[in-house]
Amino acid sequence: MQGIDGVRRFVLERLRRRAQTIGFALGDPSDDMNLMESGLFDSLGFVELIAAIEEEFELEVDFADVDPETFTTVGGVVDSAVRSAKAA
Amino acid sequence: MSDSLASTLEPRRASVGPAEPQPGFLGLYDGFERAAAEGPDRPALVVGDETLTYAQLSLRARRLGALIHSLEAEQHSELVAFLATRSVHAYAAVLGILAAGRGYVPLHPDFPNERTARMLNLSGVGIVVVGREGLDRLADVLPQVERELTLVVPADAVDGLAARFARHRFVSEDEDVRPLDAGPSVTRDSTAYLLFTSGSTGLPKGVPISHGNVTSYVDYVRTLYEIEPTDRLSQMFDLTFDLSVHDMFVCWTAGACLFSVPAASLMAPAGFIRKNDLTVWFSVPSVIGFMQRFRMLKPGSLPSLRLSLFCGEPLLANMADAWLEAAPDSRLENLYGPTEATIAISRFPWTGSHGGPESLHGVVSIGRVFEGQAACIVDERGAEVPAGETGELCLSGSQVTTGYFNDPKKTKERFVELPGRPGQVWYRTGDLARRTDDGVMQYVGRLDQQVQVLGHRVELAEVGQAVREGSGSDSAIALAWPHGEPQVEAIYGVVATSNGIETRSILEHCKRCLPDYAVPRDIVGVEELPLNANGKVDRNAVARMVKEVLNAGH
Repeated sequence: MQGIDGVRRFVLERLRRRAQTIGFALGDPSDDMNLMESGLFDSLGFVELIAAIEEEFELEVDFADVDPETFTTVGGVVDSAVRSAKAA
Repeated sequence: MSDSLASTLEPRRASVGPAEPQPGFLGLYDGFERAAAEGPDRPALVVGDETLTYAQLSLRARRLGALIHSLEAEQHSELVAFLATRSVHAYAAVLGILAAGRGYVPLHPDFPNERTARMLNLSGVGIVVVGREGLDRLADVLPQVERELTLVVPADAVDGLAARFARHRFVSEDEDVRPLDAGPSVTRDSTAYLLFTSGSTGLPKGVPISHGNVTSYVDYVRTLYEIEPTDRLSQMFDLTFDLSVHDMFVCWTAGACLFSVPAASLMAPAGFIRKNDLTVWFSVPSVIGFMQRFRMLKPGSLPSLRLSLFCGEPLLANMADAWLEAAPDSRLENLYGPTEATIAISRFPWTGSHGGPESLHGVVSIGRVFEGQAACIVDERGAEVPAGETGELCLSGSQVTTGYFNDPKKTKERFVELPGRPGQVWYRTGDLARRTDDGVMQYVGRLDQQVQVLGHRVELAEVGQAVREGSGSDSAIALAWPHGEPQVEAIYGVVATSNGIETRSILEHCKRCLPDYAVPRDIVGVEELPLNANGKVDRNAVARMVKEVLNAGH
């Protein structure tokens, strides 16, 4: 398992690819950026992103105790993934 | 005003008869007002940090109703639109428009501007109530509107808008008016709301639902599930979707409290349900799938729920089981119904798998029609098929609308008499179903290429049309994914080309003309679209090609 920087790099790379596909002005996304409210992902795309993280880092992301407000932000996804990796 | 303009202000309506007095008939708004009179200080609506009592919500509705009446001289249409979504503004607009005795037309600020303008033009509305969240859209929508509108907007926006759009009139929502003190006079046939659903020709179809249709549903369901003033109900569905009418009016005619689920919690609402001790849940089944996927659906994790209802998509038996484990004190029912039959018209109480008629291929049955409504499963000639055989499901009864809005041709196609049953009109749903020996109905699939994405009806033909326009290629279709499965995860555009495809510009075009949920996830290029023996695109073969491309890490 790579550290938090590895997960963030992976997530940002997926964001860039998605943004390129749909013509979305991504800029330099902050940790607060909400992946769904921004329109970058729909709910199914978000599920695919999580699946990709799980496959890449061989873990199961557990969102059971996550704050619904931050759950779909860049930082929320990265934190949940790293926490799940530690718990495993 | 010219005669031709005047005639466009008078929409010809499919479902409205003469307004004869009907003593004793209570419309949708009357039920809310009765609950407000019985418990004015009870909480009616919670949106974010804001809670409105019945008295407060009623006052807002009656003020807006009075404002709409005051505009009657210049804008007389039976319908009033609102451009807002799941804000206090939006809920007050629904009630205010009904309080004025008009039918409401919900418009979503996130819908493509062309679609919003088309709905305004088709519905013939003269007055539009705009919430703060809809203001940004006006610059793109108003130039495409064919007639002069009167727009009710937040007070601080009036001057700026009036200076930019001289053709239209802007009125402050805070205009000094005396709130209405009597309920609206509506008949059974008056339109309560007009919704638009995806149409196979690429044009949205208007479905008018009358007060008679919707009060049949609301009164039946409220009584059936014994909704009480102490209940706390979820409000998950977008207001452009008829399942939201259940949320609002099953709740508000019972004096109960409605909790608007915030956008951030829509996909995974476990925390929201717990925090607010919700007692009644209503959503599309996909929500269960998301919560399972994110490992949020733990056994016993939703203890406050006493009733859970799912509708809008096929409900999978394993999902229903997982939900009941999480909500052990809840009943769970699967509801079924098209917009044309008002929200839902059949139900199946789920008590787990027993190897009987409760499910078919892992999909929970749609059960039996509500008391007083009728269902009939027929073959191509309209004759009822025997138990166990698949046919088209047809519906009839007080919940079924009389036809599409200003569209006699489509109305004639879909609203028919069945042979041997003279005098009774049946709505042909396009859904394939079968009936077990016990009379339980099971959903089999669709006759056409319509699919459900998160509960929204999407005609793949409409999406395919957008992909063809965006790609400039006649050889393109839209495919639901996974192909042939009851639960659709995504839509892909498939374009036959030898020169590569401009994915981005095709998707941008789709975004301009389709609602978000219908825009393809991605565009897949293939060498050619294989045809079957009838010369039609062989969708199964295309699905195999798409699978190869996706597996290759497209």
